[in-house]
Amino acid sequence: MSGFQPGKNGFQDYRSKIHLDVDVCVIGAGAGGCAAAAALAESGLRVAVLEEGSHWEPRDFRQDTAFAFKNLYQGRGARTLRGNTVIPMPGGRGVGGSTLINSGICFRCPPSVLQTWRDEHGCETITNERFGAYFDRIWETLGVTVNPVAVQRNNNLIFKSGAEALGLDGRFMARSAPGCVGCGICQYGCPTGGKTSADRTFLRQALSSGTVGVYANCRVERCETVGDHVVAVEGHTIDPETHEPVHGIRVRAETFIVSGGPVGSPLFLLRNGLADNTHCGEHLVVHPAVGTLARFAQEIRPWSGVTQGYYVDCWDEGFLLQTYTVSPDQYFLLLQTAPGPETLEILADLSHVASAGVLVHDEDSGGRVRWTPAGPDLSYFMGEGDRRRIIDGLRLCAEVFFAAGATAVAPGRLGHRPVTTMAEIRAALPHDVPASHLPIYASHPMGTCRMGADPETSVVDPHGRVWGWSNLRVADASVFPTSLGVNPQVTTMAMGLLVGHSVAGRV
Amino acid sequence: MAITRRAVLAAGAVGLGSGVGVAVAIGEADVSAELSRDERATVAAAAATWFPGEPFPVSGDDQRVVDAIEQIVMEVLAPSQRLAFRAVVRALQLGTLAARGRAFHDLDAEARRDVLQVWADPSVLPRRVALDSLKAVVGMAYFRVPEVLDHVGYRQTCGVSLGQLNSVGRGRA
Ligand SMILES: Cc1cc2nc3c(=O)[nH]c(=O)nc-3n(C[C@H](O)[C@H](O)[C@H](O)COP(=O)(O)OP(=O)(O)OC[C@H]3O[C@@H](n4cnc5c(N)ncnc54)[C@H](O)[C@@H]3O)c2cc1C
Ligand code: SF4
Repeated sequence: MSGFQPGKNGFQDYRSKIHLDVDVCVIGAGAGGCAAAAALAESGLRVAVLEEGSHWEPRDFRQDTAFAFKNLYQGRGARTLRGNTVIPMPGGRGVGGSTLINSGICFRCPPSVLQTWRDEHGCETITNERFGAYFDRIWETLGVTVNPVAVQRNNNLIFKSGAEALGLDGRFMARSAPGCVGCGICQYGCPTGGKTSADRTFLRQALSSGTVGVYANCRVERCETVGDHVVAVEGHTIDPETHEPVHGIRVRAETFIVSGGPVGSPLFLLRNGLADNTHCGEHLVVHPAVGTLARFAQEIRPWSGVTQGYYVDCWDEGFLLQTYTVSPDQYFLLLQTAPGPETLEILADLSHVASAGVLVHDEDSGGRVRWTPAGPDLSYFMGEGDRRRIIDGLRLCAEVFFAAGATAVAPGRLGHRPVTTMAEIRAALPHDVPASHLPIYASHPMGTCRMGADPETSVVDPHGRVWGWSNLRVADASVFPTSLGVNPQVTTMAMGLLVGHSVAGRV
Repeated sequence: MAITRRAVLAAGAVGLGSGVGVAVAIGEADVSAELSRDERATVAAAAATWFPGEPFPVSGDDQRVVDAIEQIVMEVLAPSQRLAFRAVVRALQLGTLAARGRAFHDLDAEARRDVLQVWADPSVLPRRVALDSLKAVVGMAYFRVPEVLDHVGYRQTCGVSLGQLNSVGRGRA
């Protein structure tokens, strides 16, 4: 059956066990899975895309953190990494995956990263020509553009003014949001449809072929194998309210593409013994980030304008500064100061706050995704170098805010009150601040099923084929051999196109 | 109540996902039972410590806030997260009983602020993370109240009204 499932009555339309027999089964409808489905559909292949979360239309989203966490986020918004600190690691759940809740920032993967993947990991399929063409296609499909100043508004413009005053290399970011009106709530799902998430773009391209069916609220759990062949996968329809399994689902296919994201994909492979944990689940990188905020005399209204519109490029130093905005409850969480009059005053005065943060390119940090009898175990250890780069980035962020006229800046250190001078910022942020004293956050998991030419050091080959299996592939951000240093959705989609075209015999 | 299970306190800056060191005895019944009177009193006291009223128009112990906390705990958190949340609440409640001779909600405002500040100390990671989980739920509930959002000036510009997008005590989270 082609088109979006369940049908018009929603989840109730699943009435009994589902049996499907298709050419290709894609597990997970995020950035990678949707792009892979579009590439497969071009060749007329019959595809079933299975996604554990729901299918959403813009009118369904609500501007409420609790609603979003329950319905759009992995682990109901509570997914965390543990190691030398605890790091929240949000991820999307639903048709569109993390693109449903991301900020739409688009970067082409830096050529030096692609070259490392070719030279050091043997990814010969990742040529500049092929990926250049994929990036062009993604730009066109998503309508990637720099939003006009009129919708960027103060939170982005004030940071821009500070960056310019310091002569930094800053710019508005290109975004997959050609219809953005600047309501600043991308993390709740875009209520205007202005953001071109993967479900509204690549998946629609796939559906227009008439050979693709998208099964929302279906979680894949197990697989059946014969020799080096995966014969079928099985799972359940998932009640969107309780998240409990209801009916069974079984899909037979010629080829299976796992696109569950850098947590879901290794967990599926590990749970089913399709890969061992020598490399599968290892090499997790996340672009650790810390947000900070600043107070201004003039009104900013940070929630008005593009959610994340402007950045300062310090890629050579190992980090980027990017603006962001969140809802008041998240500012409350971020503002890690003691309860009392000062905290209250800042919260009551949020309309005079601007916010930006630092995102680092994991160089000496890393983590892993493991399956244990008690469930998934996610860990990450922040290295000394990355921790120092976070401090450098936070200091620069404060400098930008002061240059823009901030009256006070929160240094981005737990428990530390906003201060008024750079000397106080440096005192609050010496280079030996432990990772556990920084409110680190990570929304870019990558690398747990890394690609490479050597089965001894990788999980999938340069076509996304899982080593040891003839018809099992992975297509999502988990196949990145290293961290990118820039926001990953575009590169993830390029990986989806690569694997989809490879299955169709076009690579 | 027969104790059939021990929950690990859990949290994360946005929630309740990571195991931490302190364990508080919790019963199976706690998965589905609504918050007890003591638990409501503890979360109300914590919310009122963060939001005592002035300069905001609503205090954290306003019934709408406490109801919204309960709604989030019962409808948004997964059963295992609910257990963890209750463990955090009970640790706060009982911890002060052991250390200061009074349950958290019986302390005066200054003493409650001291307790929350101690819990916020990042040198004791599990306790800090546990506090964040409580703070996350309180924040989600408090910043749902229309007068609070009005006070902050939080208004959308995308043509979708707050009334449509936010629901306090209406519908399911
Ligand atoms: C809050 C946030 C903001 C971000 N902002 C940006 C940004 O502005 N720009 C940018 O470039 N990147 C951004 N990212 C990152 C980007 O969205 C991701 O890197 C990208 O979506 C990853 O794609 P993926 O296919 O690997 O996984 P995802 O897009 O996460 O999709 C995986 C999907 O698989 C499903 N799934 C998992 N397991 C199963 C299973 N067993 N059965 C069925 N379904 C399953 C999941 O529910 C999910 O929907 C952001 C991420 C977050 C969380
Ligand atoms: S800022 Fe608002 S309108 Fe723009 S993409 Fe994000 S949610 Fe959509």
